[in-house]
Order: sequence, then C-alpha cells, then structure tokens
Amino acid sequence: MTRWKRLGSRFRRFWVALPVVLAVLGPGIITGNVDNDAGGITTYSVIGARFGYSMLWVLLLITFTLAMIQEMCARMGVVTGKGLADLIRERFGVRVTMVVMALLLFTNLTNTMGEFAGVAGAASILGWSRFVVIPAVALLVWVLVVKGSYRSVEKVLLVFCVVYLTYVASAFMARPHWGTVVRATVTPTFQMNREFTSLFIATIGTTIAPWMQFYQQSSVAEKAIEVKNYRYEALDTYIGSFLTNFVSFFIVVACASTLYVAGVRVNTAAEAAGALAPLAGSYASLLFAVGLMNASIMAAGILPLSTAYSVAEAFGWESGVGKSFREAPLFYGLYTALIFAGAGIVLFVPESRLVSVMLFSQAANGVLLPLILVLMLKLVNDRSLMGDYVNSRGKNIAVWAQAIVMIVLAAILTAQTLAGMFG
Amino acid sequence: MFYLSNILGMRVLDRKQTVVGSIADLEVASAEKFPIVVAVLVRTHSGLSRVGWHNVRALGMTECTLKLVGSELEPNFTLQDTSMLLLNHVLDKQIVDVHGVKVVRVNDIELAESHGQLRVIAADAGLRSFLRRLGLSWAISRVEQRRHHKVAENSIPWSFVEPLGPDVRNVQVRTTWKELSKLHPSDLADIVDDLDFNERDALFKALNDEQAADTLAELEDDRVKVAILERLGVARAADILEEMDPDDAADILQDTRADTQEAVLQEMQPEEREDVRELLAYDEDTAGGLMTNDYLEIRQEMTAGQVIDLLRHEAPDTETIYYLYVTDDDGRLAGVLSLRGLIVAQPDRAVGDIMLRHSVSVFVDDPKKKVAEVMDKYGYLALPVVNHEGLLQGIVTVDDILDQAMD
Repeated sequence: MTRWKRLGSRFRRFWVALPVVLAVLGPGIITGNVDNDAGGITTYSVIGARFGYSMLWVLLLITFTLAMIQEMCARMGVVTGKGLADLIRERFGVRVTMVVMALLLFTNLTNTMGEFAGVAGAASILGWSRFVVIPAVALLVWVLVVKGSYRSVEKVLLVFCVVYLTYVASAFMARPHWGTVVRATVTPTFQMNREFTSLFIATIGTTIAPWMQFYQQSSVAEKAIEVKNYRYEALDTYIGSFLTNFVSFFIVVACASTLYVAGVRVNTAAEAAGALAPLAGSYASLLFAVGLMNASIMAAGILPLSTAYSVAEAFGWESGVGKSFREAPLFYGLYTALIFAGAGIVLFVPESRLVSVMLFSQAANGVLLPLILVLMLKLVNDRSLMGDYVNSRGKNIAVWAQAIVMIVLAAILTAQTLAGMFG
Repeated sequence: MFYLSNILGMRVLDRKQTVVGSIADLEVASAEKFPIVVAVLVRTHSGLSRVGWHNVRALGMTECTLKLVGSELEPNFTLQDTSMLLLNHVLDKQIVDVHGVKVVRVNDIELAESHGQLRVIAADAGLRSFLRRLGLSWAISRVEQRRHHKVAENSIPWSFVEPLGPDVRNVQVRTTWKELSKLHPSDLADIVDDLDFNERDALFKALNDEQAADTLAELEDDRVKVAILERLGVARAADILEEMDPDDAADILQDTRADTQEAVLQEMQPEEREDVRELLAYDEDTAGGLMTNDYLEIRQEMTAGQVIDLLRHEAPDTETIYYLYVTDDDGRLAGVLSLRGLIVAQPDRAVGDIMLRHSVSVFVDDPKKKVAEVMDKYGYLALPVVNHEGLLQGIVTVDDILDQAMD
C-alpha cells in the first residue's frame, strides 16, 4: 500500500513539474540538432560508406563527452546569466577574447559555406537549380531572424528538428543487420591507418563543435532559467546530446548497410544521397536529401546567428533577435555579412579553389576546441562566478581526461593538415 | 592622466629601489562620485599584498615606488565592503552609461592625480581604448596622422557610470544604483533589455514597487516580464502588480504558469486582485483583454463640479481622464464627456445634460483589429468597452493598441 502511495505522489509530482520542464526545454535540443549539419552528415555518411558499422562505438562514447561539455555550458548559463563569450571577455581580457573570436569567426564562416554547399548538394538530388535555391535559402534564413521575433524563431527551429527523423526512416529502408549494428556499437575497434584516424578525429571534431558551447550558453542565459530549475536544463542538454548522436547513428547505419556493402565510395553527403537510390530505393535517397536540405538550412541560419551573438557579447555591442536593425546595427550587420558571404562564395567560387580554405578551417577548429575547453574548465571551477555550482571533483577528472585526449587528437589533426598544406 | 591598462602589471619598487613585484589591481572607495584610489594591490612571490595609498611614494609612467621596504609586504588582502577593485570588478565588465542610457563594456579606465590623490575619472568604451588594450596604440596614431580624424574614444565620465560587475551588485546596490533609479521607466526598460538576469534581479530589488511596476510595464518582451516577476518571488511580484494598471498586470499574469499565477493573485490586495482576475477571463486578443477596468465611474445625475472634485481625488490612479464615460442607473453606457466639455461647463450643470449621448463603443469580445480600426476611424485616444447588455466593462486606451500594432 505504501509503495502505491509513494508511486502516486511521484506521479503527481511529475504532473506538477511538467509545465516547468516543458518551459525549460529547448536550448539543448536545438543545439544538439543543429550539430547534425551538412558537415556532420557528410562525415557520418563517409564513415558509414568507408568503414561500415565499425565506427559506431565512437558515436556512443562521444555522446557522453558531448553531454558533459554541453552540461557545463548550460550550468554556466543558468548560474551566471551570461554567455560564454561574455565570461571569457570578463575573466581573460581583450587579447584572449580577440584570439578566440578571430578563430570562431573564421571557422564559423567556413562552416556556413559548408552549409550552403549542403543546400546545393541536396538541391541537385531534388533536381533544383543551385542558383535559385542558394539565394532563396539565404534570403529565407535572413528574413526569419531579422524580421521575426525570438518566439517565432524558436518555433520554426523545433519544427526543423522533427524533420531529422527522415534519417531514421532511410536507415530502416536500407534493411541493416540489427544484430551486427548493436554489436559494433558496443565493441570498440581501431584500425591503424591514416584514413581511419583522420576520419575518427573528424567525427569528434564535427560532433563537438566550438560554436555549440557559445550558442547553447547564450540561449540558456537568454531564457533566464532559475537555478532551482537547473536540473531540467541539464535534462534538456542530455536529450539534445542523445538526439544528435541518435540521428548520426542512423545516418551511419543507412550508409553502412548499403554503400559499404556495395563498396561505393562517397566524399559528400549529397553523393551519399545519390548513391542510395539504386541500393535502397529512390524514397530512401529522397528522404536523405530532404534531411540534408533541412539540416543545411537550419545550420545556415543558426551558425551565423550564434557567431553574431558571440562577437557582440565579447565586444559589448547591442545584440539580440528582439532588437531592430537600427538598434543593433553591428550585430545584424555581422549576421547578414556571414550569410551572404557564405552563400556568395559557394555560388561563385569554384569548389577546387576552396579546398585549402576548408582544410585550414579544420586546423583552426583543432586549435579552437582545446582552447575553449581549457577556458571553460577554468570558468566553471571559479567559485566567485559559480558559487556551489562548480564542477565536482569526479566531473573535473572525467572532463580533463577527455579534454586531454581531444587536445592530443586535435594536435595530430592540425599537424596533419598543416603538413598536407605546406609539406 | 593614467590608463588602468598601463598601470596594471607595472613594476613596483620599494624604498631601496629594488623590484618587489607588480601591480595586480587598484582598490577604490566606491561611494565617491569620482572614486579615490585607496590602495594598490601588489603581486609578490608570496601572494597578493595590499599597500595603502599613503605608502605609495610615486606612480610614474613605467614604475611605482613605495615608501616601504620589501620585507614589509606580506599577503594580507581582504576586500572591504565599501571598496571595489578596478580590474576585478570593472575592467572588461559591463556598466550602465546613465547619460547615454545604454549598457556598454569597459575597455579601459581613466585616472587622474590631483592633490596627491588618484581618482577614477572615466570609463572608456570606444574603439580607441580597445586597440590600446591590444597593444596597437601605434596603429591609432598612424591612422590619425594620415586621415586627420580621431579614432572614437567614447569615454564616459564616471559620474554617469553605474557598475554592474558580479561582486559590485551584491555589496554596492544601495549606495551606487541611486542614479540608475532616477531614470525614466522607459529608459530603465531599455537598460533592463541589456542586462543579464542576475543584474535584472539586483536592479528590481533596488527599485521601489512603483518604479518597478512602471519599468516592467515599459518592457517590450512579455517573456522577459514574466521571467523577472517569477524570479522576484510571489510576495514582491504581488506588490509590484498592485502598482500596475490592471490591464498591464493581467497581460503579464496571462503568460505565467497557472500555479504561479494563482499564488501571486492570492498575495495581492483583494481590490486589485478582483480587477485583475476579471480581466484575466478575457481572451488576450480581444477588447476585453486589452482594456483596463480601473476607470472613473461617472453617473449622469452628477454635477460638473462634483465630477471635477472626484477627478481631483481619484485621477492620479486612473489611466485616462481625457474622456469620461457616463453610465445610467443600471450601469449602461449613456454617453461620453470630454475633459474640455467638463471644464467649460457651469459647475452646477448635470453631467447628463452636457455629455455627448451617442458615444462610440466596442464589445468585450471584439478582436483587437476591430478596436484599432474604430479608434483610427474616429481618431479617439480611448474607447469604452461594453458587454452585450450595454453595461460598461472598461476602457481601452490608444497605448494598449499601439503596443500591439508595433509587434
């Protein structure tokens, strides 16, 4: 009897808490979903096609790493009410901020180019002209943010998140061997060759991207979540981190059970979508392309937005989607410049000339991520900022260990990239 | 004149001209209009040491000399409640520029020496100070020579500065935010937009209920209003809402969660609570949702003189007095009386004789678009709202509609 009573009161508590939980959810889920952008989908397609199921375990592991890192950002957002760029500027001064922002601006611009390349790729599968679709998408995301309010932006984004389920559908259409899939997910395997290691690092780099920390912390701070409701924001973060890898898992599965089996090599997500048609049917191919288009559009809006937020925070400009163009000219100016530069470069500069830019961007990313991790760890353990919400000792050990692994990997990748460029 | 960026890290020499450390921070007495430097924090190998200003012999452009010897410096620093640290609490943090009514980030701090005292005189927020921090002063002078025009400094005299730094807001709120609370509520609302929520909490704690209510009503984003109220706690939220016009209060409560809404209503005074509760029953997008029910009830048998007396007593609390809506014995809308009509009338005339009988009105369930159209068509600043029995329920004023139209 008492047990039922306890269960009953738990149930009641759940219903009482539910509205609060739902009000808090959002930043983590949106950040997690945008993480599967054109670059992410490309990487997951390539590892599925090239190595089959054998890299699935990486996705499982990285879910925990991502969740831990994003949780620290969410916690800092809730406790301090400030964005990450704010905190970096306030604690580390002008020079460090300048270095971080320069790297962030550069990697985010090249990533935005990647998103528009994704739009172009998906458009070609769907049979639309890139010269129509890219300008249309650039205009669409620009109008949405400049003319829309925060609420409309968040709503549209949440709808976009649902479209990611197309990848789950494509994976099922590819009829994988689920037994093998599960076994590969829990069995780490490693191949000592250059292609494996560089794809391994690329997977981590694309899943844990520096813009995510800035974006999530700013959105959490903007939502003004109370400290007593912090655990719901942590839940939001964990759901987001799970969802992003849940979707990438199915992308790998879709490509592994078709392209890998047939021995088809692909270099981009669009190629993967095209190659799926003869192997898994035209619907699977179509769904894959729709998913790519959706992801690219969403990220093409969010990346420039997050960049503009971070830079404005760091330098103390007026910012926010709730403000008008005249109130926050630098913020909107930067946002506009990033979108149209990203779209314009993809439209008018031939792909072959962008290869070195993309490689350099990867190297910059490799420098930026460890730098941000170290700064974050310093901030999150600063008692004058976080009070009792500093990291626990266990968490510090876990995060430092992972940070060191990532620093080493990033160093390898950066060295490889630079050696490839200049050697 | 000194820049903080030049002072920080400067070599510190003792009486015997031996290097004992470097300047880590400056401590100032924060209650002053132009704060006086009371101590220099010196970083030595054994830790942070506080050296009172009276023990500083000279602060030059490249080094600082003390009246002490090195062995007298020991790690002894604790921050006093009435002091703040320029690096730790102000530099790179946000401040409110009370004169320009905006929140800016401090790139540098200007100090000046007079009568043996070093005082903070201004905060720099412009490009010039930013480049100086990056060590690019040479670039500034080169550009200025070539272009013959100065790079923007944007230095804000300290008398217009309200610091927001994390520790400052805990200790100093009562003494330093005086200037801020003198601002017009709509200026305060602009500033609130740029603050983070901890700073918002602190600001609203520093304001009295009436100021808080006016500022809250001026904010544009409903989500921000709700977040601020929820964080202030039920009791304070109720106090503030009581000070607001019932329609504004209802607007905010409409967007809060049901449990919070009920808790806050319970805390409010019965009279205000009933006004707000009544308005909450209407859909946000109808005349009922826009109107206020805090208006003067004028009966047609009252005389002009009585109405003017009533206005003297009640008007400060009511939203508009330019139009007075007159009701008959049953509470039905009978007519409208303009303030002008009232003033020019003989004091003993009955309101029923001087009012305009055919007044334009809207129904409580008319959509807001209709309300806007009617207001636009007749050029009124306010409209009476009636139910379907013709009973007067409230009034909509043009500013309620304007808010909606700007969204």
